[in-house]
Amino acid sequence: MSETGHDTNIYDIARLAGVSISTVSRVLNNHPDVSARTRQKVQKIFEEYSYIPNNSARNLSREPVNAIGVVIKGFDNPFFQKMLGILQTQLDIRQYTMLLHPIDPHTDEIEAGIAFLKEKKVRGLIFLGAAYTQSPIRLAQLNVPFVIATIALEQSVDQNLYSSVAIDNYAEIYTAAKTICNSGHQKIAAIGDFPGDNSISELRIRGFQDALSANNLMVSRESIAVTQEFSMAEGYRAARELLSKERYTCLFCMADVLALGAMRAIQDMGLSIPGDVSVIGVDGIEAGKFSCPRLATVEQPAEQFASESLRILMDMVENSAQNRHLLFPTNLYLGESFRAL
Amino acid sequence: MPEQMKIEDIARLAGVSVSTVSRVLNSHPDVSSATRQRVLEVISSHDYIPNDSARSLKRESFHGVGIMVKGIDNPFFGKMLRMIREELDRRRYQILLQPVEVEEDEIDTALSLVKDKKPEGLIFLGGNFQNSSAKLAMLDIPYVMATITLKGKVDRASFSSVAVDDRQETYSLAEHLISAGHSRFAIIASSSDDRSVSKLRVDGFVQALEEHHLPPPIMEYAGGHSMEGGYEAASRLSANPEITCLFCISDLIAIGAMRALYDSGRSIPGDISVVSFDGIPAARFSLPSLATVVQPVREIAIGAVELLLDRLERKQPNRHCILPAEFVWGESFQPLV
Repeated sequence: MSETGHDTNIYDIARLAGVSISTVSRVLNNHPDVSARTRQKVQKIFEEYSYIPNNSARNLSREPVNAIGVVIKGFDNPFFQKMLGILQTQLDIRQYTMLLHPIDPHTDEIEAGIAFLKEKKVRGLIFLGAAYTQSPIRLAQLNVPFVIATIALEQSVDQNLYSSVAIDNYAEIYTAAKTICNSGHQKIAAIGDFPGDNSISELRIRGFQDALSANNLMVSRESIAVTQEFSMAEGYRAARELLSKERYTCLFCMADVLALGAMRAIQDMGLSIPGDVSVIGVDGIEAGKFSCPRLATVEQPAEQFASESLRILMDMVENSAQNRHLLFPTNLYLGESFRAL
Repeated sequence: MPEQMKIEDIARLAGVSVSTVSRVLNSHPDVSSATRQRVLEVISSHDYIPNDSARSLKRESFHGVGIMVKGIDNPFFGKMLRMIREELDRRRYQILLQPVEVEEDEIDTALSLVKDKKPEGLIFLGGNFQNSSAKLAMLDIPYVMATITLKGKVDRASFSSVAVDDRQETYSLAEHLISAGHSRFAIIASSSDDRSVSKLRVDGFVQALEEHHLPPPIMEYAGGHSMEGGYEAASRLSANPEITCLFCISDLIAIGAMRALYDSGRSIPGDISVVSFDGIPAARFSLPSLATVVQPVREIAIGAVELLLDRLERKQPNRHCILPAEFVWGESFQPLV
């Protein structure tokens, strides 16, 4: 509340700060020729009187109404970068602006989304990457339609609270691991991110473990190398660690970037791919298609992920449609880096 | 109207300190999940709207920096963006990340961003800036070009830049390769009408060949920076047995090209050496590892933020920084002498 009882206007601010109106205006417009001291004085008055400049009210209304926010967990993940490229093209066609909000892989994406919504005016959100457990209270605090891409939340979460576009991470990796077992591999190790953190990687590793157990193969703690993030460097480190202790015949990596790093480590240890060790990843990124050898992988449909999450989101934003959930099948591509024994 | 909840009230109700509430609000990592949960429950049951969001309204118009990225799916920018973000975060600037499509004009996009969002400054990552001096003059806020330096008709006093000298670096690269005994070169560039880094990198390389009275390189084009484009361009080249060394103007192109050479039965570097430019992570881990001119990503990122803050906070004039790149010898290259 201002001292006079009405909304503080630019004249009040100028009077209180002891400067001219045009100086206040220059501060508001970030004009360079205001001394730092004056600027500070004026801004202090703004804060004291909770002054929201007309100007910025105008800015708000002038902001493009049609913006979609994208919260990306792990910005340098090439799989997300590929999806981003597709999202951007399609949003352009629909004349929507895309506002990106990259976050660290260890940050809580829903909280980041809530904070983002307070600052940016968007009509909907897409999450690229998320944990599979979420508090319904937090989900409900996201006050625009949103789609979680690449992972489905656990079944206890009310499906009316969110939309999702994903593969069944557990089942798809279970099936792929079973195929590997059936092709004669017995010493199989996994490489992936922090089990126990409710991540996509954890779901995949569980699928892997259960498939091996179903085939009466031992899954020891040593046969799972834990990585800190999906990166080539981490894949490299993990593969060296695994192979220096035990001669595994197959490394199942929970992301292609890990697998690419692992392939390099195998080569550096004087082993051959797939002669000595088979390598398989998850994702289907471009780099795996051009690597030597070509990477075997559980391919996720990046293009369908992108276009379907956008279609579901737009349906909610523009036609008030209900939340929806889509699960896509994967394609197991047994490229040059894999051989049956 | 009931009195508005304050952060102190939330702290009291949740039985934690004010700074813990603040940490929860700011998604700070070091709060236990139980505490976080408790605080969040108090927040939502009392419909508490943090002051923060009122403050951020102002922050948006006072301390926002727009980052224009040409080619959001380019891994070279991925790492740089992360560092720029961390650096601006640390200095409490908000970021507005604006992807620019390949065929889009980055200055048009920048002008509308400036109009709509009123950022305080801009950082351009990549872009070609063709025929743009008039439009650039319309950008009336401080801006920094990262990874590109404009020369020629533009007014260099009106912006800052931080980049490697693409032309000089590829000139030195070619000199290296020539002194290592290579004499018959091919180049895969981005596209024939590219007036950006691709052209600079080709020009520097070709100039060295000319000065050594070597035949001009065989030119191929990838139609952009992609592995697929590199693969196709190298497939067209691979019939030519004379070439001893292939220079690709970016790592993405080179990785695709190496696979094409492999598919046509040519061994790298036995039959043909491959060298490139950028230094993305995949270059180090590929088989064979790629010999490439590594750009100082970290220095460019930090430099870009520094140059912008020089303008925004310290009222310094615009500056242009040239940083050295480093040629890293990889398995894809072998000397012939």
